[in-house]
Amino acid sequence: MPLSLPLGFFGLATGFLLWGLLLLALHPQALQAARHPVLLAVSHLLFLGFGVGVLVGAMHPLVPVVLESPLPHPSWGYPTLALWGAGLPLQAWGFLEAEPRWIALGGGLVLLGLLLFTAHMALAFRRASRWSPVATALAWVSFYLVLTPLLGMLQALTLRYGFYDPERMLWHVLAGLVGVFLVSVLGVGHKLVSMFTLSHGVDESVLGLLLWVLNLSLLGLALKQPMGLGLLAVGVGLACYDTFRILRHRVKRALDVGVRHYLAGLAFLGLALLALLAGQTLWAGLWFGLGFLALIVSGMLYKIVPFLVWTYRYAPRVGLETVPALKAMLPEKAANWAGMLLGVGALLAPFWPPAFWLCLAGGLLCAYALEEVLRS
Amino acid sequence: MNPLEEQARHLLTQVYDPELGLDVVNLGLIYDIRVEPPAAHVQMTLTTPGCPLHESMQEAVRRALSGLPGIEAVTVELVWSPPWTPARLSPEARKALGWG
Repeated sequence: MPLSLPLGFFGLATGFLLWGLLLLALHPQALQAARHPVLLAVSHLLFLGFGVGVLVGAMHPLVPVVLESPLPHPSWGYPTLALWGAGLPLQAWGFLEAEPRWIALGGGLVLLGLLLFTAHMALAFRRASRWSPVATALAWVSFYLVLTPLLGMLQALTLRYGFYDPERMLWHVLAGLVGVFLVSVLGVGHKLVSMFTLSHGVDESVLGLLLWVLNLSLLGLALKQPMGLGLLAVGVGLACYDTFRILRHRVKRALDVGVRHYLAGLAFLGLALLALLAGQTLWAGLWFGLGFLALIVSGMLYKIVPFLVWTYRYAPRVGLETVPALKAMLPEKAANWAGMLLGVGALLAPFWPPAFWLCLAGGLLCAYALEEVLRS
Repeated sequence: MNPLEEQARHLLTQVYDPELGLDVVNLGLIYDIRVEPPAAHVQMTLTTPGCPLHESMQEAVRRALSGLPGIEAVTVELVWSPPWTPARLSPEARKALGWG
């Protein structure tokens, strides 16, 4: 698979992250209204731009590893990249300008891209040599990657043509936050943290149970059943327990920058859950998006990007000459500072709006660290 | 182990896992080396099935042994049985991973 495909997704995703953080820093008052145009634009830039961009970009090289079988049509990733990369800015601009046609056009392009991606993944899953709970997680993620924008489009169309029900917005949000991001981060995280720490002898039974619990919690929350929140709490507890088991069985003792980001992100997930239980939805959303998601995804980029660049640039020279280790390719100090700024900014954001500038500084440092990897 | 096999083992200490910064010999990934010019054969494993480095590592081992005198063909066989366990790490590798 050409290096340009995952890196294309990662580059655009990082750009969308910075755009979203800049908007938040400039317009913190947008958080006061749930349907504020800036908040709608920011949430799509952070989740559909940064989160989905990195996820789809990473799944292209990751799925063959999990399924132990190559992707049937890697080149299909380029139209997905083009449709998502062109559609999302149009959609975000449409929200900012309150221009429904741009929102519909941009959202439609993104949906087409994600439909193509899911069709490709479905073909890959059918050819799998090996099936595991991680593969199940990725299959669920592919499903929710299409369901989430479909529910969003349904809202947009019913708003225009009738039968609009504001309650359905909750389905769109839940499918995205729980179905796409919790399932993907915790499912892929199990595989990646195990690999990064060289963990040995941890079975995938807890992950299998976690997938059931998360899907049932999503259903419960969508139907406004009290058990939905309870199941979500059980799911977060299971994710922490699974991570604890992985770390207890690790062979590599020191925790590297990617794993430290993962653990900090899990702590933010716990905080977001507590805020949700306390009825503080805005706090929960900020800690989920800026803490859990941004920290874990940026931490994974610090591991994935050096690996991809190393594979293309240095792997052909191993055995003939000395080549750098992955750790040497990343400016770790910048990555650590980026994580600290993002973390402190996310923690303070619900109480102190200037904290969004800290998040933006963290995002810029993260982009710098990744750019240095490309130049290494 | 004949002198050529000793030399082959030494050459393989130059093949590093980029994530762990350790060579394939100290990681205990090499199960068997047979050098009978003009051919060399290596049986090896990886720390986990589906390791994303499997192609890079196999190719790197083949390239490293191509430098042996009189060797024209190197075959690298990747096996999963017996599976790799941390018990296969050398004391040096264990120390480098923070357990020494």
